[in-house]
Amino acid sequence: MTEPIAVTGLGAVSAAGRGAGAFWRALCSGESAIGPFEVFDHRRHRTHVAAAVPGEVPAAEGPYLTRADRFALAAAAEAVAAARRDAPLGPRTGVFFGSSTGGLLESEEFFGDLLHRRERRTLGMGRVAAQQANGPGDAVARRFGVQGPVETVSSACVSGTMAVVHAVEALRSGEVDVAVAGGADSLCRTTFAGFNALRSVDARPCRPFRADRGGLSLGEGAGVVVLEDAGRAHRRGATVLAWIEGVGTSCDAHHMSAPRPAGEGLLAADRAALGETGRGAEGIDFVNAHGTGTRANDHAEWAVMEALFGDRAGSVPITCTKGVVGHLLGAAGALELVATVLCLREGFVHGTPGTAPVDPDTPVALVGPAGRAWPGVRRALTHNLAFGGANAALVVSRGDGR
Amino acid sequence: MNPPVAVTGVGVLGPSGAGGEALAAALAEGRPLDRPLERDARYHHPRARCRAARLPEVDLDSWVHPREGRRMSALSRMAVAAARMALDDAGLPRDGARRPPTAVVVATVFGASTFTEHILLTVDDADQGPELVSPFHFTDCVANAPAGQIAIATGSKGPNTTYCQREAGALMALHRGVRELQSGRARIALVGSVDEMGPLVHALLDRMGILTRSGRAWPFAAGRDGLLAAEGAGFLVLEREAEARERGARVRARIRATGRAFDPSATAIGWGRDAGGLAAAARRVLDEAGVAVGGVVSGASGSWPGDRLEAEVLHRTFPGGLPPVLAPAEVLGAYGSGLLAPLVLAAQGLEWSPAAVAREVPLHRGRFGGEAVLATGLASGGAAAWAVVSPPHRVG
Repeated sequence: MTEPIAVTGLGAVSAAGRGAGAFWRALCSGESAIGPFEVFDHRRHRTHVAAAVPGEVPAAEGPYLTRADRFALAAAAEAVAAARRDAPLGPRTGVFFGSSTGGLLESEEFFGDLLHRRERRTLGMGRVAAQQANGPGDAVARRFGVQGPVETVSSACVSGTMAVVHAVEALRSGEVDVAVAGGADSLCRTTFAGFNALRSVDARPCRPFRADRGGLSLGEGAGVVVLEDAGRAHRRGATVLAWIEGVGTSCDAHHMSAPRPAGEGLLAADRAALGETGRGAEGIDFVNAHGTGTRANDHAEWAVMEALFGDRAGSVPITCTKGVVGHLLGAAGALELVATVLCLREGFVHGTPGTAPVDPDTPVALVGPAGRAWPGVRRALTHNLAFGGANAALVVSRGDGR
Repeated sequence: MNPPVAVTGVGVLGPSGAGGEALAAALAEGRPLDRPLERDARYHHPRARCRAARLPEVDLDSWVHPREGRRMSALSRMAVAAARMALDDAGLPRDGARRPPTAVVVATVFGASTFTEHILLTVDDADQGPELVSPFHFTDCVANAPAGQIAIATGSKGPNTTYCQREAGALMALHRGVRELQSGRARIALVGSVDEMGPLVHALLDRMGILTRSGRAWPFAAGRDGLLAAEGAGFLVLEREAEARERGARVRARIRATGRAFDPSATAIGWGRDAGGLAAAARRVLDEAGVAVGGVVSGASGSWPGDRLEAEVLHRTFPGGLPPVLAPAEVLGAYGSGLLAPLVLAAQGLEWSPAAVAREVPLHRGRFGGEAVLATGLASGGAAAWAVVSPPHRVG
């Protein structure tokens, strides 16, 4: 059993709005925040719903900040404040961030201007230089005066989870005392067209595991957590919101865009994470699934549930944060960690919107839209899988039970 | 105490061609390896100098069969070829089923930019539009496509990570690979960097004003005028040294320490001014390595602000006098196959012939290394990473 890592701060930006409070209210509402959106002109695309962050993009100082950077900064500011940490965070703090597309939305606009010889004074060359995947993590590090390691994982839909895994390891190894970990991505034309080309996008808001599902819904935003080692968190009297008890990663080595049908890769990541807890799957109360709503992913996840939980597979509650706020790609795992921590903290497993019955081929115990009050809930598994076959898993337990 | 990690294989594909011998010969000769790059009137400025350190004609069939390569971007093909080259060099089977659990860690700056470009052109085209975007282009345009393709091609089921951290990415990949081995999550790690240089990215770099106009990158030189953009892939095989020796592998170098830091005074697109903070971090890496460093392999590329910061960091890291410095980007260009293969060659003792010009940091000429070597990667945006690598014969 490895030493658990304390979660001492949370921040979120999502289709539910800005802040972990708004996010939690949306998760408990039983309704999906996925719908019509205006981030870019999608009239020529196949589908027309997504989970866009409403209203004005959070303002932030500094030049060259992309939409994703601003999501990251807003979520990080909330998390750092919640953890009662002050900038500058210095050389013993690291930033571990995931992003799949970074500032690709802005790069697309720049590309269009370049191609059509449109002059835009507001979009100089400096802006396109700032639009890489490392943008959100770097922006957070600059804003909070971080001088320790700063890394951006860009492993598609598992980026945010992987960033948390790396943060946990950096804390365990003593490389840092504090880690700001998370992910940020914005909606953009490339991913919208690409997932539609794969016929992976549902024309309606996504409905993971339900019989009438038709694919995923893309989303945007950021999720950020502040992590500290247990001793340091206790010594400074920090409120421990949750513990990360185990982390695991693996690769399918199978296909670029489909999981192994029996989910062996994801199962290996889950087992590695559970192995670190010293408890096994029997200690898991609920699962925050990857839950994209694509047939291939849902079937692989059900196979993993069967392998992990055996006879309990159909009764261990599963919730899908993507059903509420869509698929945030490189930020998905980080925001789903925030959701999982909130569920444990509030003693309430949030629901997954939708009215159709669960697909009999993937008979998971899907938590319905109303959610499930569960004051004694203690421990959850949250996991993600990605293009390229990468998988990552986290075992999280409630903070006030230790 | 962390178990020592050894480099047992090197695979490199870059402007010098395929393999470590070609790379060593190119560095010994010291001549920049730039080649013409097609001008694209849609993207390039009319006065752009269209040259880059691109791959020569290289037959990749030995590493990627054409049937297999059809399902990959050019970027992924380079990465898979270099990764398999590294496995061959390490004497390890290409088939993952006959190899211990293997991690893959890849750094890329631009990813599969030509595939992303295809998607954007299709979306933009009045006659095509988003409905005609190729699913293949989409799945292989993601930054982690090379890492995924390597995993598939080599049956590597261990942790699979892609870093996008600009000029610090390759050394971060090395750091991650070492950590995967030391933590026991993998027993082999394939770590490397890969980038392609197509007309779009080249034109953007040119329009940013960061490419050399003189036609040659002069790292640290007073008269430097920018970098030479490059493409290629460089991969290492890492193993726990004890396990490598047990299987009779040839240990080519030993990783003594790795470390990372960040300069928050940097801008989103440039380098900062906290040379003191970065030097302190570099010294911590040297202290952890616990060996005398006989040389530096620098990521300096000919960039004005980047090289200026790096020079200051190096002078502060070695206040008693700089050891010999090698800057491979003078020959190989920036990005591309990266620092990792030159680093291993340097630790083994490399012949190196930079141009004789005045520089902020004098570059070494002649045989290099044979002692522990410090590698540095300072990225625009603020990230930084270091590694200390020694030849295998050094004890201690």
